[in-house]
Amino acid sequence: MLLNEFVTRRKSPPHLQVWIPAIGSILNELPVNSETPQEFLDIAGWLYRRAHEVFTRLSQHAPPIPDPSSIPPPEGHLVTGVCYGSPAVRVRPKYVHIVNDTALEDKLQNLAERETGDAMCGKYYNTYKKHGLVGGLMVLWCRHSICVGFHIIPTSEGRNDVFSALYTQWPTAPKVVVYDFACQLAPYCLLREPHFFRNTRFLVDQFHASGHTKCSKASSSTYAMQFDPNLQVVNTSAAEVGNSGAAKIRKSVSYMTQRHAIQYTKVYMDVMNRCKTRTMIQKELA
Amino acid sequence: MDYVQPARFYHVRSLPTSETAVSFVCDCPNRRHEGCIHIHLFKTHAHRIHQIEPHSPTPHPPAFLVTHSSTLGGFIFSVCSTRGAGLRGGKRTIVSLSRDGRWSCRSCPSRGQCHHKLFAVEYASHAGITDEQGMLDPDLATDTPNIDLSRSSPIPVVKSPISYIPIPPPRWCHLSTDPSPPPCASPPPLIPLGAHSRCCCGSMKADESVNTTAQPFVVFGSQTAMRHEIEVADCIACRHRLRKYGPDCGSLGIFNWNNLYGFTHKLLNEYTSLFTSATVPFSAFVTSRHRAYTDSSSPLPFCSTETFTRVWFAFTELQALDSGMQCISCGKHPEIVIADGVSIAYSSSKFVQGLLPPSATTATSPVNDTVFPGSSSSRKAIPDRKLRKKVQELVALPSRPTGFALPSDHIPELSSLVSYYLHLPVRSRLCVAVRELLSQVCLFR
Repeated sequence: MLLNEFVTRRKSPPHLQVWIPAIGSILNELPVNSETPQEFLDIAGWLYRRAHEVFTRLSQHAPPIPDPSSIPPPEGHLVTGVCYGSPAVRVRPKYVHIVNDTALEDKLQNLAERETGDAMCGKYYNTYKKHGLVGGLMVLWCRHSICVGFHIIPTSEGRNDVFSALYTQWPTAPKVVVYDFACQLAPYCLLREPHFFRNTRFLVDQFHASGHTKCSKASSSTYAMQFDPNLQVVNTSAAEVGNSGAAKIRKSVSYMTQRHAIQYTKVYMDVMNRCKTRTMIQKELA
Repeated sequence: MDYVQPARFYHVRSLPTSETAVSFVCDCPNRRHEGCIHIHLFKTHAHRIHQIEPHSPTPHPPAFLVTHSSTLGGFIFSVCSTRGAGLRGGKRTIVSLSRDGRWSCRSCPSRGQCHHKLFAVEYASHAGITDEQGMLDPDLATDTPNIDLSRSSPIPVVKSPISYIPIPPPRWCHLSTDPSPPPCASPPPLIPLGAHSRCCCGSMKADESVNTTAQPFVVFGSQTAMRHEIEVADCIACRHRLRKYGPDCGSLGIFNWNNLYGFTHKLLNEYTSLFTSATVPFSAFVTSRHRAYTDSSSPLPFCSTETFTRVWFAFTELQALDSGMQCISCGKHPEIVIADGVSIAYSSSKFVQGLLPPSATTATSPVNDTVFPGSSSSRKAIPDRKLRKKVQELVALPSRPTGFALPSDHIPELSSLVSYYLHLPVRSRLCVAVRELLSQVCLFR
């Protein structure tokens, strides 16, 4: 819509550079009060039409209105391994026309590269998985490094874990999702639920941004921060900080039964959340 | 008094020591003692045992089914323990298949790979216990147990600590939304039965007067153990000599484990504090307590690691530590989410069915048949692969080439932007910005 507004008015909306930094940075370089060159208006118009066409083709459905009462109450977190602040509002559907919808990441990445012939950023999910252990934990943090939920990954981590956690737990999609493989998470989410994620930005955190050499800067949080002051106050590496702290329990958990591992992790996350909350309150009071 | 434990299977092997004498070897935990109950049974009732029909037609099969009973944990197999020696009658071990389809081996309780299971899996497949996919036959999974142990035992299966009243979180992580923790009184020499008394079966002490007795009660603290006495009464639900009503002791800052041992909240919170600050396994903490007890000349040594682990998990299950998984500023569903996977995991052999991650789909999951992804190229900004590659090569060049042009019939807007880029003045600051835009357009998926 921003692009359309830009083309129609022939003038950049003030927040265009926040959402589309690539065009914003060009307009910043133009002399003040000068006319926008026709080439930029044309490319913006084409990008709008192209995005609208793809979005319309994909978005043939809207996400169901959150109705927790339609979801059977799950068993406790000690059984399900799922621990979020509130019960799920949706259930992940099966996308029957997407081949290998819930396949493991290695297979998905190979398929995508073979299909397009383009080199893509990859994440070697299986190298993170320790031999003889289950897949690990998917943890979601807020920008204050407070854990807002986690779940046990039975086999190995993948984009499906982030997509499903957001889709099933969030009534409306978050505005910004920071993930170390966000450049590929964005197409994954937008392909399945374009309506739900239409206003979400997917960014690679600063810690991992330098490793993304095959994708554009569009998903780099470092690049986005140059144009969006709201992102400058976000510690995009909060998850790395939280996870490095959580590594303290790695050794103990590796010897535990499933039930004990879930409980031990939950206690750890709760205690850390409480300590961080106390620090936040003390800072506010100070 | 020694007794045979139900639901436990051990191997007793007879080894001839001479032409007439036979010695027995048992693999039960009491084998090191002077003759275990199993060997005693074999010695005293050898003639009867030899009359029992063998389970297998061959002398030393790689695996055979010992029994099938859901009460005993499903299917119990005897499996040769070592490949070569085992097939000729060496050591054997027990492998079980539970009703939920999970295999477990006694010899390899925590290892991911177990070669014992392979024999049992093969046997189960041949015997029709599991199907071609290795799934347990559903008819067999719901089979009636052949031994109903629950009928012979009136003891309720549920067993939990005596303490049951929620315990407030420690002061160092106390939040304003938590109820303020009551001041803890020091425990009297005799801890009386109060209004909050119950048995480990969960039965609450009724108001009517019951006969009470006093028994020794050891309280494990941070530095030393203390001897107290506790008032108990026979549980009318259990009717078992070892199961009694006992006081909750929470108001005294004590976690009553089993009316014999109690643990101070301070001690248990100390472990919570330590393991959230540094890597401190249970065993390390117990070792440090053993040393502290020695230093303070405690009348009793500290408990074992196994006991402390069980107590701590029971304690934290009761403790109101839940943070609500929310931020005071962002709430439960923040607008900025940072997601990351972390390799904190337990052994695959400890995996239990029932995990329900958000990514899981089941037969009852809703079906979405409206998403038609099409080809991957059709979702890119530039669907034509050759054109995409050409623009990518252009923006990858350190300097702008001369004589480069895109065919204008494909995407005229793109061609005109490329032309604009190529004709920008040499030192124009727009060059970098336009190149970045072209790069992002090429890679847009």
